[in-house]
Amino acid sequence: MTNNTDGFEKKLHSLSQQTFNKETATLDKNVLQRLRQAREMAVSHTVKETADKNKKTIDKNKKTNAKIEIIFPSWLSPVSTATAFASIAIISALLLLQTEPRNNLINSNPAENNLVENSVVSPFDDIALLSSNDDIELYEDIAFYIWLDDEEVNDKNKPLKNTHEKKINAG
Amino acid sequence: MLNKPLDAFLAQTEQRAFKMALYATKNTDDALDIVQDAMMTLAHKYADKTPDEWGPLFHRIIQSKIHDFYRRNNTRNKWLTLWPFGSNQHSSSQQPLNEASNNESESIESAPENKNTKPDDKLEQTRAMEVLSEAVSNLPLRQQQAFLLRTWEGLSVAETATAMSCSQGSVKTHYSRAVHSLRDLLEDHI
Repeated sequence: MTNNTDGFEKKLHSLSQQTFNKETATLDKNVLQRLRQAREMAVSHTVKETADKNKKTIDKNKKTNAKIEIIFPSWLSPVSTATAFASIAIISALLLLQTEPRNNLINSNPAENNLVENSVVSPFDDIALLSSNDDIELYEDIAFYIWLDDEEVNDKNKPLKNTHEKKINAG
Repeated sequence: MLNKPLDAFLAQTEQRAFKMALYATKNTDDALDIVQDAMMTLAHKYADKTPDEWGPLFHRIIQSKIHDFYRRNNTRNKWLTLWPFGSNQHSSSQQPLNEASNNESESIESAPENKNTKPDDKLEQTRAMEVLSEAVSNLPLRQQQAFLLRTWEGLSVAETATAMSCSQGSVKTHYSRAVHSLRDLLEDHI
């Protein structure tokens, strides 16, 4: 049974091949012409599409370049670089110069004036001041607080004069 | 500038593709439309693929187009049955393969003869070819396509399954049923 099936299938396969090959080999001329036209159209469509795609890419690149040219002209590039470097140099120089003592600060109190004159304030101190959460008034009266601190240190170093002061201190 | 590999591939495949579409649609114009659409789709979407990949892709596109054709026809037939004046019109898929059959008969008659075969054998073979051609065109679509792809195009079960967008088991079933149907019709001729 299996051999018969195999035999039939082989014969069927062979006959099918012969039939289909003969049919395709002897197709109508009109059909062949229309098939050729369809093929040519499909292939030319591919070629045209590729050409269109390339053209679109080139146009897109041109437009992008034109936009960039408008925003950043090519002659501006060295100028802008030089400007940037000069700006950095100026800012650095200013920062370095400002680290010197601030002698121009004048206060009515000679003692405070003396303190301010001797203090060295760098611009980084200003940044620390601005970024801290401390009350700004503390920094406005900083000379006073420095003086107060010094006074307390001096008081501690002095010997106690009488028993009344001792009691106060003990209390 | 012309895409020569694609052109060569299509030139090699177009006639068989047309014949497969003709078996499915039973109408020359519809078959030509299907092949043309398939060529355009292949050229439009898969022209950048390698020539080895075009074969399975093209078969798959053809199968898809044939399916679309059947779907459209089914929808149209449903409306035509509701339309009283349109019920006498034959859909292209239901038309007998008169034109094609005539061409086939002519082509078989005009085919080069093998001088070694006896006239009776030759006549019998010609008759068997006619019966086979008609039997294949009358097979259900899936069986017909599975049979053509396996026998004619020489695709493996896996390749046929890919082309038909179904499982390998389905391909085996369709092919087996097709062979079984053809056996009943062709047993006397083979």
